[in-house]
Amino acid sequence: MAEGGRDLRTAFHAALDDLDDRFVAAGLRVAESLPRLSEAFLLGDVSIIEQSEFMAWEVASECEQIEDDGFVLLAREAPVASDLRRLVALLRMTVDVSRSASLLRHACLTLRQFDPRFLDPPLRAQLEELSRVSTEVFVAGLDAWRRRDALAVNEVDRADDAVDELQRLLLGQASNVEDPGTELVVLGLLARYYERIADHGVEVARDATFVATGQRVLVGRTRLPPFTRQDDDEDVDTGNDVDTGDDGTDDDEGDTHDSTDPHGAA
Amino acid sequence: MTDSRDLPLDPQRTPWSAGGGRVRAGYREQLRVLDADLVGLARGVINIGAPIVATDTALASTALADAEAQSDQVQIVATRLEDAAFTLVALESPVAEDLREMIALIRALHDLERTARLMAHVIEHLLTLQACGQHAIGEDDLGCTRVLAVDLFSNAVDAWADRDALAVNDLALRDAEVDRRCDAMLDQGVRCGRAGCAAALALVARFLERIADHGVALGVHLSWAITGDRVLPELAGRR
Repeated sequence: MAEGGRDLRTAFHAALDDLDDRFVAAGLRVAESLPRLSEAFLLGDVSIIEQSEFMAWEVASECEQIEDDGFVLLAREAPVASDLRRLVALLRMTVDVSRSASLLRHACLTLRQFDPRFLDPPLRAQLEELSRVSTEVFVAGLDAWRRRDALAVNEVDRADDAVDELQRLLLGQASNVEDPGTELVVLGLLARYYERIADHGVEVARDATFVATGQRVLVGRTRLPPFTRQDDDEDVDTGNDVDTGDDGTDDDEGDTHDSTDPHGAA
Repeated sequence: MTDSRDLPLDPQRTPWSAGGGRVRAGYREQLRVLDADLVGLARGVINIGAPIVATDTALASTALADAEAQSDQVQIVATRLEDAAFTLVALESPVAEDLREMIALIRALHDLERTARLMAHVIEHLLTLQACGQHAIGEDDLGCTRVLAVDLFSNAVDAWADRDALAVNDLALRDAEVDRRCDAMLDQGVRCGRAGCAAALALVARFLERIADHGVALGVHLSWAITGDRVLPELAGRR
Protein backbone atom coordinates (compact mmCIF):
# COMPACT_ATOMS: atom_id res chain seq x y z
CA MET A 1 0.00 0.00 0.00
CA ALA A 2 2.96 2.27 0.55
CA GLU A 3 4.63 1.71 -2.82
CA GLY A 4 4.31 4.45 -5.36
CA GLY A 5 6.44 7.19 -3.88
CA ARG A 6 4.86 10.06 -2.04
CA ASP A 7 1.25 9.39 -3.01
CA LEU A 8 -0.73 7.73 -0.31
CA ARG A 9 -2.45 4.43 -1.02
CA THR A 10 -1.35 4.38 -4.64
CA ALA A 11 -1.60 0.62 -4.94
CA PHE A 12 -5.06 0.67 -3.43
CA HIS A 13 -6.24 3.31 -5.86
CA ALA A 14 -4.77 1.36 -8.75
CA ALA A 15 -6.63 -1.74 -7.59
CA LEU A 16 -9.84 0.26 -7.23
CA ASP A 17 -9.40 1.70 -10.73
CA ASP A 18 -8.82 -1.79 -12.07
CA LEU A 19 -12.01 -2.99 -10.41
CA ASP A 20 -13.87 -0.03 -11.86
CA ASP A 21 -12.51 -0.72 -15.35
CA ARG A 22 -13.59 -4.33 -15.15
CA PHE A 23 -17.05 -3.30 -13.98
CA VAL A 24 -17.41 -0.81 -16.85
CA ALA A 25 -16.22 -3.47 -19.31
CA ALA A 26 -18.90 -5.86 -18.03
CA GLY A 27 -21.50 -3.09 -18.26
CA LEU A 28 -20.43 -2.23 -21.80
CA ARG A 29 -20.69 -5.89 -22.76
CA VAL A 30 -24.37 -5.74 -21.77
CA ALA A 31 -24.85 -2.30 -23.34
CA GLU A 32 -23.38 -3.53 -26.60
CA SER A 33 -25.44 -6.71 -26.57
CA LEU A 34 -28.75 -5.00 -25.84
CA PRO A 35 -29.40 -3.34 -29.23
CA ARG A 36 -27.77 -6.14 -31.20
CA LEU A 37 -29.67 -8.96 -29.55
CA SER A 38 -32.92 -7.00 -29.38
CA GLU A 39 -32.75 -6.32 -33.10
CA ALA A 40 -32.02 -9.97 -33.88
CA PHE A 41 -34.78 -10.96 -31.47
CA LEU A 42 -37.34 -8.99 -33.42
CA LEU A 43 -36.16 -10.74 -36.57
CA GLY A 44 -36.84 -14.07 -34.89
CA ASP A 45 -33.20 -15.16 -35.08
CA VAL A 46 -33.01 -18.13 -32.68
CA SER A 47 -29.23 -18.27 -32.89
CA ILE A 48 -29.13 -15.39 -30.41
CA ILE A 49 -30.38 -17.69 -27.64
CA GLU A 50 -26.97 -19.30 -27.41
CA GLN A 51 -25.21 -15.96 -27.76
CA SER A 52 -27.26 -14.42 -24.98
CA GLU A 53 -26.63 -17.38 -22.68
CA PHE A 54 -22.91 -17.11 -23.23
CA MET A 55 -22.97 -13.34 -22.73
CA ALA A 56 -24.98 -13.63 -19.50
CA TRP A 57 -22.67 -16.36 -18.18
CA GLU A 58 -19.57 -14.28 -18.99
CA VAL A 59 -20.96 -11.14 -17.40
CA ALA A 60 -22.19 -13.01 -14.31
CA SER A 61 -18.80 -14.69 -13.86
CA GLU A 62 -16.96 -11.41 -14.22
CA CYS A 63 -19.31 -9.64 -11.82
CA GLU A 64 -18.87 -12.41 -9.28
CA GLN A 65 -15.11 -12.06 -9.58
CA ILE A 66 -15.34 -8.28 -9.24
CA GLU A 67 -17.45 -8.73 -6.14
CA ASP A 68 -14.99 -11.17 -4.59
CA ASP A 69 -12.02 -8.92 -5.37
CA GLY A 70 -13.94 -5.91 -4.05
CA PHE A 71 -14.55 -7.58 -0.72
CA VAL A 72 -10.90 -8.60 -0.46
CA LEU A 73 -9.98 -4.98 -1.12
CA LEU A 74 -12.43 -3.92 1.54
CA ALA A 75 -10.89 -6.31 4.05
CA ARG A 76 -7.28 -5.47 3.27
CA GLU A 77 -7.43 -1.74 2.75
CA ALA A 78 -10.26 -0.54 4.98
CA PRO A 79 -11.12 2.38 2.69
CA VAL A 80 -12.99 5.39 4.03
CA ALA A 81 -14.98 8.38 2.70
CA SER A 82 -15.15 8.64 -1.11
CA ASP A 83 -13.01 5.52 -1.61
CA LEU A 84 -15.41 3.51 0.52
CA ARG A 85 -18.41 4.97 -1.31
CA ARG A 86 -16.89 4.08 -4.65
CA LEU A 87 -16.17 0.53 -3.59
CA VAL A 88 -19.61 0.11 -2.04
CA ALA A 89 -21.22 1.45 -5.21
CA LEU A 90 -19.18 -0.93 -7.37
CA LEU A 91 -20.27 -3.87 -5.26
CA ARG A 92 -23.89 -2.84 -5.60
CA MET A 93 -23.70 -2.19 -9.31
CA THR A 94 -22.28 -5.60 -10.16
CA VAL A 95 -25.71 -6.93 -9.20
CA ASP A 96 -27.37 -4.45 -11.59
CA VAL A 97 -25.16 -5.36 -14.53
CA SER A 98 -25.32 -9.07 -13.86
CA ARG A 99 -29.11 -8.99 -13.56
CA SER A 100 -29.46 -6.91 -16.74
CA ALA A 101 -27.45 -9.51 -18.66
CA SER A 102 -29.65 -12.22 -17.20
CA LEU A 103 -32.82 -10.34 -18.10
CA LEU A 104 -31.63 -9.93 -21.68
CA ARG A 105 -30.99 -13.67 -21.80
CA HIS A 106 -34.52 -14.30 -20.52
CA ALA A 107 -35.90 -12.02 -23.23
CA CYS A 108 -34.00 -13.97 -25.90
CA LEU A 109 -35.16 -17.29 -24.45
CA THR A 110 -38.77 -16.35 -25.19
CA LEU A 111 -37.94 -17.01 -28.86
CA ARG A 112 -38.50 -20.66 -27.99
CA GLN A 113 -42.13 -19.83 -27.33
CA PHE A 114 -43.05 -17.38 -30.06
CA ASP A 115 -41.83 -15.68 -33.21
CA PRO A 116 -41.89 -11.87 -33.02
CA ARG A 117 -41.97 -11.60 -36.83
CA PHE A 118 -45.63 -12.62 -36.74
CA LEU A 119 -46.64 -10.01 -34.20
CA ASP A 120 -49.19 -7.40 -35.27
CA PRO A 121 -47.23 -4.46 -36.72
CA PRO A 122 -48.38 -1.99 -34.02
CA LEU A 123 -47.40 -4.43 -31.26
CA ARG A 124 -44.09 -5.11 -32.91
CA ALA A 125 -43.42 -1.38 -33.19
CA GLN A 126 -44.25 -0.92 -29.51
CA LEU A 127 -41.91 -3.73 -28.51
CA GLU A 128 -39.17 -2.31 -30.69
CA GLU A 129 -39.61 1.11 -29.11
CA LEU A 130 -39.59 -0.35 -25.61
CA SER A 131 -36.36 -2.25 -26.20
CA ARG A 132 -34.78 0.85 -27.76
CA VAL A 133 -35.67 3.20 -24.91
CA SER A 134 -34.73 0.65 -22.25
CA THR A 135 -31.35 0.25 -23.89
CA GLU A 136 -30.92 4.03 -23.90
CA VAL A 137 -31.70 4.25 -20.20
CA PHE A 138 -29.27 1.46 -19.35
CA VAL A 139 -26.50 3.04 -21.45
CA ALA A 140 -27.22 6.49 -19.96
CA GLY A 141 -26.89 5.03 -16.47
CA LEU A 142 -23.57 3.46 -17.33
CA ASP A 143 -22.37 6.71 -18.93
CA ALA A 144 -23.33 8.61 -15.78
CA TRP A 145 -21.10 6.29 -13.82
CA ARG A 146 -18.20 6.60 -16.26
CA ARG A 147 -18.40 10.39 -16.19
CA ARG A 148 -19.16 10.54 -12.46
CA ASP A 149 -22.09 12.73 -13.45
CA ALA A 150 -23.98 13.36 -10.23
CA LEU A 151 -26.83 15.15 -12.00
CA ALA A 152 -27.52 12.61 -14.71
CA VAL A 153 -29.74 10.55 -12.43
CA ASN A 154 -32.61 13.00 -12.84
CA GLU A 155 -32.49 12.73 -16.61
CA VAL A 156 -32.10 8.96 -16.52
CA ASP A 157 -34.98 8.66 -14.09
CA ARG A 158 -37.22 10.71 -16.39
CA ALA A 159 -36.26 8.48 -19.31
CA ASP A 160 -37.18 5.51 -17.15
CA ASP A 161 -40.64 7.00 -16.70
CA ALA A 162 -40.97 6.83 -20.48
CA VAL A 163 -40.09 3.12 -20.32
CA ASP A 164 -42.79 2.54 -17.72
CA GLU A 165 -45.28 4.35 -19.94
CA LEU A 166 -44.24 2.31 -22.98
CA GLN A 167 -44.62 -0.86 -20.95
CA ARG A 168 -48.14 0.12 -19.99
CA LEU A 169 -48.99 0.94 -23.60
CA LEU A 170 -47.61 -2.36 -24.82
CA LEU A 171 -49.55 -4.34 -22.25
CA GLY A 172 -52.69 -2.33 -22.95
CA GLN A 173 -52.39 -2.93 -26.66
CA ALA A 174 -51.55 -6.61 -26.17
CA SER A 175 -54.58 -7.18 -23.98
CA ASN A 176 -56.82 -6.11 -26.86
CA VAL A 177 -55.77 -8.98 -29.10
CA GLU A 178 -58.67 -11.22 -30.01
CA ASP A 179 -57.09 -14.55 -29.21
CA PRO A 180 -54.76 -14.16 -26.24
CA GLY A 181 -52.37 -16.98 -25.75
CA THR A 182 -48.63 -17.47 -25.82
CA GLU A 183 -48.17 -14.10 -27.51
CA LEU A 184 -49.78 -12.15 -24.70
CA VAL A 185 -48.04 -14.05 -21.92
CA VAL A 186 -44.65 -13.61 -23.57
CA LEU A 187 -45.27 -9.94 -24.30
CA GLY A 188 -46.15 -9.39 -20.65
CA LEU A 189 -42.88 -10.97 -19.58
CA LEU A 190 -40.84 -9.15 -22.22
CA ALA A 191 -42.25 -5.81 -21.13
CA ARG A 192 -41.20 -6.57 -17.57
CA TYR A 193 -37.72 -7.69 -18.58
CA TYR A 194 -37.04 -4.50 -20.51
CA GLU A 195 -38.55 -2.37 -17.76
CA ARG A 196 -36.22 -3.98 -15.25
CA ILE A 197 -33.18 -3.45 -17.47
CA ALA A 198 -34.03 0.26 -17.54
CA ASP A 199 -34.50 0.24 -13.75
CA HIS A 200 -31.01 -1.18 -13.34
CA GLY A 201 -29.72 1.69 -15.50
CA VAL A 202 -31.35 4.15 -13.10
CA GLU A 203 -29.71 2.34 -10.19
CA VAL A 204 -26.28 2.74 -11.76
CA ALA A 205 -26.89 6.47 -12.29
CA ARG A 206 -28.06 6.71 -8.71
CA ASP A 207 -24.83 5.15 -7.49
CA ALA A 208 -22.86 7.65 -9.58
CA THR A 209 -24.58 10.41 -7.61
CA PHE A 210 -23.90 8.59 -4.34
CA VAL A 211 -20.20 8.41 -5.09
CA ALA A 212 -19.95 12.04 -6.16
CA THR A 213 -22.07 13.58 -3.42
CA GLY A 214 -22.54 11.01 -0.67
CA GLN A 215 -26.31 11.47 -1.04
CA ARG A 216 -28.79 8.80 -2.00
CA VAL A 217 -31.23 10.48 -4.29
CA LEU A 218 -34.85 9.47 -4.55
CA VAL A 219 -36.02 8.08 -7.84
CA GLY A 220 -39.25 6.79 -9.31
CA ARG A 221 -42.15 6.47 -6.93
CA THR A 222 -40.25 7.60 -3.84
CA ARG A 223 -39.12 10.87 -5.33
CA LEU A 224 -42.70 12.08 -5.00
CA PRO A 225 -43.55 13.87 -1.77
CA PRO A 226 -45.10 11.49 0.74
CA PHE A 227 -48.51 13.16 0.63
CA THR A 228 -48.89 12.25 -3.02
CA ARG A 229 -48.11 8.60 -2.37
CA GLN A 230 -49.73 5.90 -0.36
CA ASP A 231 -49.69 6.30 3.38
CA ASP A 232 -46.08 5.89 4.46
CA ASP A 233 -46.60 6.13 8.17
CA GLU A 234 -46.94 2.45 8.75
CA ASP A 235 -43.68 1.03 9.97
CA VAL A 236 -42.54 -2.45 9.23
CA ASP A 237 -41.95 -4.18 12.51
CA THR A 238 -38.30 -5.15 12.46
CA GLY A 239 -38.67 -6.51 15.91
CA ASN A 240 -35.55 -4.73 17.02
CA ASP A 241 -36.49 -1.12 17.44
CA VAL A 242 -34.74 0.00 14.30
CA ASP A 243 -35.30 3.66 13.70
CA THR A 244 -37.26 3.63 10.50
CA GLY A 245 -37.39 7.35 10.16
CA ASP A 246 -40.47 9.44 9.92
CA ASP A 247 -41.75 10.32 6.52
CA GLY A 248 -39.57 8.54 4.03
CA THR A 249 -38.07 11.74 2.69
CA ASP A 250 -34.60 11.34 4.11
CA ASP A 251 -31.76 11.72 1.68
CA ASP A 252 -30.58 8.23 2.39
CA GLU A 253 -33.90 6.61 1.62
CA GLY A 254 -33.56 3.45 -0.38
CA ASP A 255 -34.64 2.85 -3.90
CA THR A 256 -38.28 2.08 -4.32
CA HIS A 257 -38.92 2.97 -7.87
CA ASP A 258 -41.29 0.63 -9.50
CA SER A 259 -39.39 -2.45 -10.33
CA THR A 260 -40.30 -6.02 -10.70
CA ASP A 261 -37.31 -8.14 -11.13
CA PRO A 262 -38.25 -11.18 -13.11
CA HIS A 263 -35.17 -13.62 -13.09
CA GLY A 264 -35.71 -13.35 -14.52
CA ALA A 265 -36.86 -10.87 -12.29
CA ALA A 266 -34.52 -9.00 -9.82
CA MET B 1 8.18 -3.09 23.81
CA THR B 2 4.82 -1.88 25.01
CA ASP B 3 2.34 -4.49 26.05
CA SER B 4 -1.09 -3.88 24.54
CA ARG B 5 -2.47 -4.03 28.07
CA ASP B 6 -0.49 -0.91 28.89
CA LEU B 7 -2.10 1.17 26.15
CA PRO B 8 -4.42 3.87 27.46
CA LEU B 9 -7.56 2.43 25.95
CA ASP B 10 -10.87 3.97 26.79
CA PRO B 11 -13.43 1.18 27.19
CA GLN B 12 -16.21 3.63 26.31
CA ARG B 13 -14.69 4.34 22.93
CA THR B 14 -13.12 1.10 21.86
CA PRO B 15 -15.73 -1.41 20.79
CA TRP B 16 -13.14 -4.20 20.60
CA SER B 17 -12.50 -3.90 24.31
CA ALA B 18 -16.13 -4.21 25.27
CA GLY B 19 -17.40 -7.61 26.26
CA GLY B 20 -14.76 -8.72 28.71
CA GLY B 21 -11.71 -10.65 27.68
CA ARG B 22 -12.91 -11.86 24.25
CA VAL B 23 -11.08 -10.53 21.22
CA ARG B 24 -13.28 -8.23 19.12
CA ALA B 25 -16.23 -8.94 21.36
CA GLY B 26 -17.54 -5.44 20.70
CA TYR B 27 -17.52 -6.01 16.96
CA ARG B 28 -19.22 -9.36 17.42
CA GLU B 29 -21.87 -7.72 19.54
CA GLN B 30 -22.54 -5.03 16.94
CA LEU B 31 -22.71 -7.67 14.25
CA ARG B 32 -25.15 -9.65 16.38
CA VAL B 33 -27.39 -6.57 16.73
CA LEU B 34 -27.26 -5.93 12.98
CA ASP B 35 -28.10 -9.55 12.33
CA ALA B 36 -31.05 -9.41 14.74
CA ASP B 37 -32.26 -6.29 12.93
CA LEU B 38 -31.97 -8.11 9.62
CA VAL B 39 -34.00 -11.05 10.92
CA GLY B 40 -36.60 -8.62 12.24
CA LEU B 41 -36.74 -6.91 8.87
CA ALA B 42 -37.08 -10.28 7.15
CA ARG B 43 -40.05 -11.10 9.39
CA GLY B 44 -41.56 -7.80 8.26
CA VAL B 45 -41.10 -8.91 4.64
CA ILE B 46 -42.86 -12.19 5.40
CA ASN B 47 -45.74 -10.19 6.88
CA ILE B 48 -46.15 -8.39 3.57
CA GLY B 49 -46.76 -11.80 2.02
CA ALA B 50 -49.52 -12.75 4.47
CA PRO B 51 -52.34 -11.95 1.99
CA ILE B 52 -50.54 -14.04 -0.64
CA VAL B 53 -50.61 -17.12 1.58
CA ALA B 54 -54.24 -16.65 2.62
CA THR B 55 -55.50 -18.42 -0.49
CA ASP B 56 -58.99 -19.01 0.89
CA THR B 57 -59.63 -15.32 1.49
CA ALA B 58 -60.35 -12.67 -1.11
CA LEU B 59 -57.80 -9.87 -1.17
CA ALA B 60 -58.98 -6.61 0.32
CA SER B 61 -58.95 -3.62 -2.01
CA THR B 62 -56.45 -1.92 0.31
CA ALA B 63 -54.05 -4.87 0.19
CA LEU B 64 -51.88 -3.32 -2.50
CA ALA B 65 -51.57 0.05 -0.79
CA ASP B 66 -50.64 -1.70 2.47
CA ALA B 67 -48.07 -3.89 0.77
CA GLU B 68 -46.49 -0.98 -1.08
CA ALA B 69 -46.28 1.14 2.06
CA GLN B 70 -44.64 -1.72 3.94
CA SER B 71 -42.32 -2.42 1.06
CA ASP B 72 -41.23 1.25 1.07
CA GLN B 73 -40.42 0.95 4.74
CA VAL B 74 -38.42 -2.21 4.14
CA GLN B 75 -36.32 -0.29 1.62
CA ILE B 76 -35.69 2.48 4.13
CA VAL B 77 -34.69 0.14 6.91
CA ALA B 78 -32.58 -2.01 4.58
CA THR B 79 -30.70 1.07 3.37
CA ARG B 80 -29.98 2.13 6.93
CA LEU B 81 -28.83 -1.33 7.91
CA GLU B 82 -26.59 -1.40 4.84
CA ASP B 83 -25.09 1.95 5.83
CA ALA B 84 -24.53 0.68 9.35
CA ALA B 85 -22.90 -2.47 8.00
CA PHE B 86 -20.49 -0.56 5.77
CA THR B 87 -19.67 1.83 8.60
CA LEU B 88 -18.83 -1.14 10.77
CA VAL B 89 -16.66 -2.58 7.99
CA ALA B 90 -14.86 0.75 7.66
CA LEU B 91 -14.32 1.11 11.41
CA GLU B 92 -13.44 -2.47 12.28
CA SER B 93 -11.85 -3.95 9.16
CA PRO B 94 -13.15 -7.46 9.85
CA VAL B 95 -11.44 -10.43 8.25
CA ALA B 96 -12.15 -14.13 7.63
CA GLU B 97 -15.42 -15.34 9.18
CA ASP B 98 -16.22 -11.91 10.60
CA LEU B 99 -15.97 -10.41 7.13
CA ARG B 100 -17.91 -13.23 5.50
CA GLU B 101 -20.76 -12.80 7.95
CA MET B 102 -20.88 -9.08 7.28
CA ILE B 103 -20.81 -9.56 3.52
CA ALA B 104 -23.52 -12.22 3.72
CA LEU B 105 -25.61 -9.80 5.71
CA ILE B 106 -25.16 -7.04 3.13
CA ARG B 107 -26.09 -9.43 0.32
CA ALA B 108 -29.10 -10.68 2.26
CA LEU B 109 -30.37 -7.12 2.64
CA HIS B 110 -30.59 -6.87 -1.12
CA ASP B 111 -32.67 -10.05 -1.22
CA LEU B 112 -35.02 -8.68 1.43
CA GLU B 113 -35.53 -5.42 -0.46
CA ARG B 114 -36.30 -7.23 -3.67
CA THR B 115 -38.58 -9.76 -2.02
CA ALA B 116 -40.61 -7.03 -0.34
CA ARG B 117 -41.09 -5.35 -3.71
CA LEU B 118 -41.97 -8.64 -5.38
CA MET B 119 -44.57 -9.43 -2.71
CA ALA B 120 -46.26 -6.11 -3.48
CA HIS B 121 -46.19 -6.91 -7.19
CA VAL B 122 -47.74 -10.32 -6.59
CA ILE B 123 -50.57 -8.73 -4.63
CA GLU B 124 -51.09 -6.16 -7.40
CA HIS B 125 -51.53 -8.87 -10.01
CA LEU B 126 -53.55 -11.15 -7.75
CA LEU B 127 -56.01 -8.29 -7.45
CA THR B 128 -56.15 -8.16 -11.25
CA LEU B 129 -56.83 -11.89 -11.35
CA GLN B 130 -59.46 -11.50 -8.68
CA ALA B 131 -61.15 -8.75 -10.66
CA CYS B 132 -61.46 -10.97 -13.72
CA GLY B 133 -62.82 -13.91 -11.71
CA GLN B 134 -59.68 -16.00 -11.70
CA HIS B 135 -61.18 -18.79 -9.61
CA ALA B 136 -61.74 -21.15 -12.51
CA ILE B 137 -58.27 -20.92 -13.96
CA GLY B 138 -55.65 -23.17 -12.45
CA GLU B 139 -56.51 -22.12 -8.96
CA ASP B 140 -54.91 -25.22 -7.49
CA ASP B 141 -51.55 -24.49 -9.03
CA LEU B 142 -51.80 -20.79 -8.30
CA GLY B 143 -52.87 -21.33 -4.69
CA CYS B 144 -50.22 -24.00 -4.04
CA THR B 145 -47.47 -21.99 -5.64
CA ARG B 146 -48.37 -18.90 -3.63
CA VAL B 147 -48.06 -20.86 -0.40
CA LEU B 148 -44.95 -22.77 -1.50
CA ALA B 149 -43.02 -19.69 -2.55
CA VAL B 150 -43.78 -17.60 0.52
CA ASP B 151 -43.23 -20.58 2.84
CA LEU B 152 -39.89 -21.24 1.22
CA PHE B 153 -38.82 -17.67 1.83
CA SER B 154 -40.13 -17.84 5.39
CA ASN B 155 -38.18 -21.06 6.05
CA ALA B 156 -35.06 -19.46 4.60
CA VAL B 157 -35.41 -16.67 7.16
CA ASP B 158 -35.80 -19.27 9.93
CA ALA B 159 -32.68 -21.04 8.66
CA TRP B 160 -30.83 -17.74 8.73
CA ALA B 161 -31.95 -17.05 12.29
CA ASP B 162 -30.92 -20.60 13.33
CA ARG B 163 -27.57 -20.40 11.49
CA ASP B 164 -28.49 -23.58 9.62
CA ALA B 165 -25.89 -23.82 6.87
CA LEU B 166 -27.33 -27.04 5.45
CA ALA B 167 -30.82 -25.67 4.87
CA VAL B 168 -29.77 -24.46 1.42
CA ASN B 169 -30.07 -28.01 0.03
CA ASP B 170 -33.65 -28.38 1.15
CA LEU B 171 -34.49 -24.87 -0.01
CA ALA B 172 -33.06 -25.58 -3.46
CA LEU B 173 -35.12 -28.77 -3.80
CA ARG B 174 -38.28 -26.89 -2.90
CA ASP B 175 -37.33 -24.11 -5.27
CA ALA B 176 -37.28 -26.65 -8.09
CA GLU B 177 -40.87 -27.55 -7.19
CA VAL B 178 -41.86 -23.87 -7.24
CA ASP B 179 -40.22 -23.50 -10.67
CA ARG B 180 -42.15 -26.51 -11.96
CA ARG B 181 -45.45 -25.12 -10.74
CA CYS B 182 -44.66 -21.68 -12.15
CA ASP B 183 -44.06 -23.23 -15.57
CA ALA B 184 -47.47 -24.90 -15.25
CA MET B 185 -49.00 -21.53 -14.41
CA LEU B 186 -47.45 -20.01 -17.53
CA ASP B 187 -49.04 -22.77 -19.59
CA GLN B 188 -52.38 -22.09 -17.94
CA GLY B 189 -51.98 -18.41 -18.73
CA VAL B 190 -51.48 -19.30 -22.38
CA ARG B 191 -54.60 -21.47 -22.41
CA CYS B 192 -56.92 -19.31 -20.35
CA GLY B 193 -58.20 -17.26 -23.28
CA ARG B 194 -58.71 -14.04 -21.35
CA ALA B 195 -56.23 -11.27 -21.99
CA GLY B 196 -56.10 -9.64 -18.56
CA CYS B 197 -55.82 -12.98 -16.79
CA ALA B 198 -53.16 -14.39 -19.06
CA ALA B 199 -50.69 -11.56 -18.53
CA ALA B 200 -51.38 -11.31 -14.79
CA LEU B 201 -50.99 -15.05 -14.30
CA ALA B 202 -47.68 -15.05 -16.16
CA LEU B 203 -46.34 -12.20 -14.07
CA VAL B 204 -47.51 -13.70 -10.78
CA ALA B 205 -45.73 -16.92 -11.77
CA ARG B 206 -42.53 -15.02 -12.47
CA PHE B 207 -42.70 -13.05 -9.24
CA LEU B 208 -43.37 -16.11 -7.10
CA GLU B 209 -40.49 -17.87 -8.79
CA ARG B 210 -38.24 -14.93 -7.89
CA ILE B 211 -39.44 -14.82 -4.28
CA ALA B 212 -38.43 -18.47 -3.97
CA ASP B 213 -35.10 -17.70 -5.67
CA HIS B 214 -34.39 -14.98 -3.12
CA GLY B 215 -35.17 -17.49 -0.35
CA VAL B 216 -32.58 -19.87 -1.81
CA ALA B 217 -30.15 -16.96 -2.10
CA LEU B 218 -30.51 -16.34 1.63
CA GLY B 219 -29.58 -19.98 2.22
CA VAL B 220 -26.58 -19.66 -0.11
CA HIS B 221 -25.30 -16.51 1.63
CA LEU B 222 -25.67 -18.14 5.02
CA SER B 223 -23.90 -21.30 3.94
CA TRP B 224 -21.04 -19.19 2.57
CA ALA B 225 -20.82 -17.11 5.74
CA ILE B 226 -20.52 -20.20 7.91
CA THR B 227 -18.47 -22.56 5.76
CA GLY B 228 -16.67 -20.26 3.34
CA ASP B 229 -17.89 -22.41 0.43
CA ARG B 230 -19.93 -20.77 -2.27
CA VAL B 231 -22.79 -23.14 -2.99
CA LEU B 232 -24.24 -22.94 -6.47
CA PRO B 233 -28.02 -22.71 -6.03
CA GLU B 234 -28.61 -24.91 -9.06
CA LEU B 235 -26.48 -27.67 -7.52
CA ALA B 236 -27.47 -27.28 -3.89
CA GLY B 237 -30.45 -29.60 -3.97
CA ARG B 238 -28.51 -32.39 -5.66
CA ARG B 239 -26.02 -32.87 -2.84
